[in-house]
Amino acid sequence: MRMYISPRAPKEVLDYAQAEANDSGRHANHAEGSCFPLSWNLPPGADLGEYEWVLNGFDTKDLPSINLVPVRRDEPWETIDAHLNRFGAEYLLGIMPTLWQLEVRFHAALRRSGIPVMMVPPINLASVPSLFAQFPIHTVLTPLRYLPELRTLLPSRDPHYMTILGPSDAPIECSPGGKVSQEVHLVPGMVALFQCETLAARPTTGFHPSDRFIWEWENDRLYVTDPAARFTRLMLPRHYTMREETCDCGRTLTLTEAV
Amino acid sequence: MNKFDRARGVFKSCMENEYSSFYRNLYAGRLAAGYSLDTEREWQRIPLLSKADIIAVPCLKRIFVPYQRIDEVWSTSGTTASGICTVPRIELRHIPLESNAVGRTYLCFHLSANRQRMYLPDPSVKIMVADRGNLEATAALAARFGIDAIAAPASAAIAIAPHLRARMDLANIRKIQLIHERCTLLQLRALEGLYPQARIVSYYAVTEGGGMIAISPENPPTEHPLAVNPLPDAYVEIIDGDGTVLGSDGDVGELVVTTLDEKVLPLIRYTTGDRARIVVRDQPLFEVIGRVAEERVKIGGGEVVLSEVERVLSELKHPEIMDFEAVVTEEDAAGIPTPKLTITLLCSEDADASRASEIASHIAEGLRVTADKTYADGERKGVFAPLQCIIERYGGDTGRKRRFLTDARGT
Repeated sequence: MRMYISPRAPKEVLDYAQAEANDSGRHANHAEGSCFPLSWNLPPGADLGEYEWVLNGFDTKDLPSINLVPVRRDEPWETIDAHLNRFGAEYLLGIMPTLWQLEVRFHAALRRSGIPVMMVPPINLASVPSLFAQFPIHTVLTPLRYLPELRTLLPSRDPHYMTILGPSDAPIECSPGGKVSQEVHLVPGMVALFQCETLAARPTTGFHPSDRFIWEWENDRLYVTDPAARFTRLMLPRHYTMREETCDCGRTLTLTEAV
Repeated sequence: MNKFDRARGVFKSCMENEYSSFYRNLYAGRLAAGYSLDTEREWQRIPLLSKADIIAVPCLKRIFVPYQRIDEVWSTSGTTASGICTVPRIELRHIPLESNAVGRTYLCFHLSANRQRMYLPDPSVKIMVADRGNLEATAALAARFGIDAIAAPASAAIAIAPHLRARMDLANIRKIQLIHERCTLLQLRALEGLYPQARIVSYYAVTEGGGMIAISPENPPTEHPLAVNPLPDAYVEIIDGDGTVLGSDGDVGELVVTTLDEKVLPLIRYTTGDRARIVVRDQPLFEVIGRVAEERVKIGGGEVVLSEVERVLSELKHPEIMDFEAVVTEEDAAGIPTPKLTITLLCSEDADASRASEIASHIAEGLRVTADKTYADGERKGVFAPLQCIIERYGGDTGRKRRFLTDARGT
């Protein structure tokens, strides 16, 4: 079964995606490495001053294919926006590898809500308790791999953890309570799949697909297309089952890791 | 507007603002009514604050604006053993654009992109940020990014050079912006050799004292190539151990900085803990030469401080020496535990390791210590070398080892 998950996508984009698939006979495959396999070009006449450069992968081990790609500085980070709207958090701490180049976009996302920016590179995780002692930090945004160390460093604190996974990373099973939400990024800072509060509280790992992209699902595989045509029919490396259900957050689709 | 006029305005808002209890407490009982802040003598009644004083007051208690106006919270690394200090920032202070005329695409080490914008406010200047975690990957990306400038601690700019050289012509690097750590003369000479076309610009910044404080002039004096000028809104003093302000060229003391336009922590006379020399009082021009509380070790009949090792090494004029590490251990000399200083000379690839003992003799001479000490203890006789040199190829992460490190037994 093939199913377009994003029926609201412009027809011409879907046609373009279909034509690309027919021409190449196959989909681009994200599973070939953690790097985004396509290079992105700036639109003609783009103002360089409006763009920042982000890494197209998560790990410098993928050196041959890793690169820097331009992303608009004000490109939304919808999970941060939604989280701040939901909880009215006043202090949010970001922990991000320096090489991801995400600080400027993180800064832009927080300043839209008047939130001071606090960032700690993973090499300085030891300074996190000091920040917690001075600020009522409500939420920590961090790659999933630093979650165990953070919990060790903050034994008496119980912040919300928004955790970032690469497309190849295995999500964790969440304990009920919803204090850890997970989001799968295509490249650092580009949210593809995310958990609303309801999904984060479930013991099974489910995700909503981002409304920003066009999604197709076929035989437990997910394909993603960018309406701005920066990438087309990219296959995500992990397998997902799809369920149509109405979530408490109002969304109607849930993707769950296929066993 | 002179410094006193600006400071008066800041002082008034510090005292009257509804959020400014920190300042009211700070000045209570110290500054009498009618304090006009218009003479040097009155200026010097502003209390001196150390990092410990700032840490003692929680971050949110020492701002006098609503927290929503805080743009970014910086935290120091805590490597000076005085604790981690968090400092809020509003509207990052910029240095003049003309200072950034060279270099459009930066590789920037150990500084967030947001913070780097303080140095480079022109949004068309592109910034790639990195740390020393994977120099190979960083160099590969930087070469693809087409960098023509580097903003980094000197040790990182030296460490990345061989990785970059494998991928690009280092003559394409037109500017090295030295940040974060104090650069030594040795490192400066190494950088000049590695990046022959680069203009090397030195900065002095203190996170707790308002960020950017000073920048090297267009043409620094030949004999003081790392001297810097304070920025227009930064006021610099050099004081002696009693807190007396020094005022003659060549005077050496502790550097005190006060930023007047800083939005969150203005008008703090911050004692930096850095030792500095007045180079030209009237320009003003100063150079940072070390830390005030330098470790001293007794070896070979003399007392050695780290800045002396640095001075002697730079005077040796061995171009292959790029940096050094210093470790003090306690060794057995005929049954007597005796301190020993091992200096690892971090050198370029063409260094001759067989010259280590010859260089050690020169260093010992420069430090006025004994290189070899003959001992006799009953049946045991021998020679103990309290100072040893090892030549190693430059490996990179040395900035924090330019202080005496003791082994587990201590000295």
